[in-house]
Amino acid sequence: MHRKNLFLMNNVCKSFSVSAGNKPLNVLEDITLQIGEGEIVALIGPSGCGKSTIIKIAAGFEKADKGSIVFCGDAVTAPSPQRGVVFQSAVLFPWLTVSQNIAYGLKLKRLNRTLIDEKCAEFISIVGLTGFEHYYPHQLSGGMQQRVAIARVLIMQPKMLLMDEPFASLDAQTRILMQQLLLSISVRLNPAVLFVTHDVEEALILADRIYVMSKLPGSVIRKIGVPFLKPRPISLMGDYEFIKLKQEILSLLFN
Amino acid sequence: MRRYRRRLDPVGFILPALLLAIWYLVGKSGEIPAYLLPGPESVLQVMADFVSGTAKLTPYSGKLIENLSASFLRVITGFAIALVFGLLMGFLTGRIKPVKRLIDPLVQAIRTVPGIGWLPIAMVWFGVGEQTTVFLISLAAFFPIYINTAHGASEVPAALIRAGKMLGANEWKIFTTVILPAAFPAVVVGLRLGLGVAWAYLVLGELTGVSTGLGAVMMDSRMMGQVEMILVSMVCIAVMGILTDRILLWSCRLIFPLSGREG
Ligand SMILES: Nc1ncnc2c1ncn2[C@@H]1O[C@H](COP(=O)(O)OP(=O)(O)OP(=O)(O)O)[C@@H](O)[C@H]1O
Ligand SMILES: [Mg+2]
Repeated sequence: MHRKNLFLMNNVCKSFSVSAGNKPLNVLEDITLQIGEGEIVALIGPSGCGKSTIIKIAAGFEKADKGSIVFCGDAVTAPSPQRGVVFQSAVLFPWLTVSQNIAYGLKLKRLNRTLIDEKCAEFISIVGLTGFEHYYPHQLSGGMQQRVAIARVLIMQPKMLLMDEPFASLDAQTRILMQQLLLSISVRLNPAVLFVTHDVEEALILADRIYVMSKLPGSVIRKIGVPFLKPRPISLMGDYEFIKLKQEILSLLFN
Repeated sequence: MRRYRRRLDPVGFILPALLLAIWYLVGKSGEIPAYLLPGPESVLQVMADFVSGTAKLTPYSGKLIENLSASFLRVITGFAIALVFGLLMGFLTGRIKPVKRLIDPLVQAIRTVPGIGWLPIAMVWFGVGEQTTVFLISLAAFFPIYINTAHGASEVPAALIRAGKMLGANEWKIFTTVILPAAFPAVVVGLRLGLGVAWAYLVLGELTGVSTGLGAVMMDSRMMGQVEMILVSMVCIAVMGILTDRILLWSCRLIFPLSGREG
């Protein structure tokens, strides 16, 4: 399957200088990634290898030292609602209700009030939070908060989602539900997704392709195409092919 | 919008009632002469007369509104000046590093001089009375507002700011929709502390000699041996302090419904 490239990261390097005397810590070394329109790409790697740093650079929160980042043909210089970010913790605005949090981006665009309300109701129902419109974030469970975080970026109809371990803080059951939610969203709204995970099964269930990263300094050591057709039911986890791929990735990670 | 119904907790009335009873009994027993501590009933009479002016018990009979409004106006003027400068400088130092490096050391140095220490120089500059009082109030109320605002503004989680930016907010929108509401609880704390010291410094300023105002009433009553009137003025200041604090909190909740919830 060939898709038009939506997002490109070419030969990106990044180092952090922690204190003045020490020499800088090389975090990313020559990272090259491509993501096609509507494609779901997983980034997997050992802790501290720079996955979050890649997300931050892709979002436009951090600058790369070297290399280029191109989104829709333009260089990435600043954050944009076209690349919605879902963080590991929901990072909702605690002083806004569920519907106000979700409407935040549209309000900035000064859209017509009734249109915002309509859209807001639509996306609240997509993430299954109808009835909780007037709750404040602290009155929601972790999974519900994360669904609000997803809805508030989806409502901007981004071409791309950047997700940094979006489901890592959730319990196993909720996580599976959220994975299914993400799959149904990707069918319905078709955004490209770059998501970080340390859960190999999650990567295999969700992704079209997986990038496996090395220990620090992080570099891509393997690109793996995931062959399973969608929709992918949970029962897929018992498949021989699935388990074989899982073993392969695990052995890459632990070498 | 949920509403927090605040009911008065009866337990909070136990100690005041006890104190009142002891006060009453001590007055009855004659242990402490009335020129040092008059009994609660005579204080109450003077209070009623201060409000209504029917009994003509003191020279201040019926003069409550006149003195109260004079004091209130000074507090509000001083507090408003402190609020404008405190918020402006607080947000600037809290969010902009070079500004912090420029003004924070100076402000902190000035703060080490206690507010009372400004009284002599204020009297030299502004004379006794009105302007000195307003100057002292605004100076004293400025620091808690400035410090809490700066602290609140600097503690806004970077993640929230990133969230706002990735949803399309520009710098100004980040300020109005993220930094302002995130720092607001700290700002409310600063404003309430500031308003509290405003009433304290009102009394200090008015003691230097103004013709009307609760502090003036207290000082003149002392010279005339009207102990009841001193106590009545103290009660008035306490009531006004609580009342203005409630009004402040209520207006803050109008702006952000969840602010000062623990208060
Ligand atoms: N702002 C920063 N200043 C200095 N060092 C940093 C900074 N951000 C990240 N690092 C360093 O970069 C490395 C990679 O961090 P990053 O958060 O990208 O890792 P990660 O792959 O997301 O790890 P995890 O799986 O644990 O979330 C770490 O060693 C970290 O110490
Ligand atoms: Mg990370």
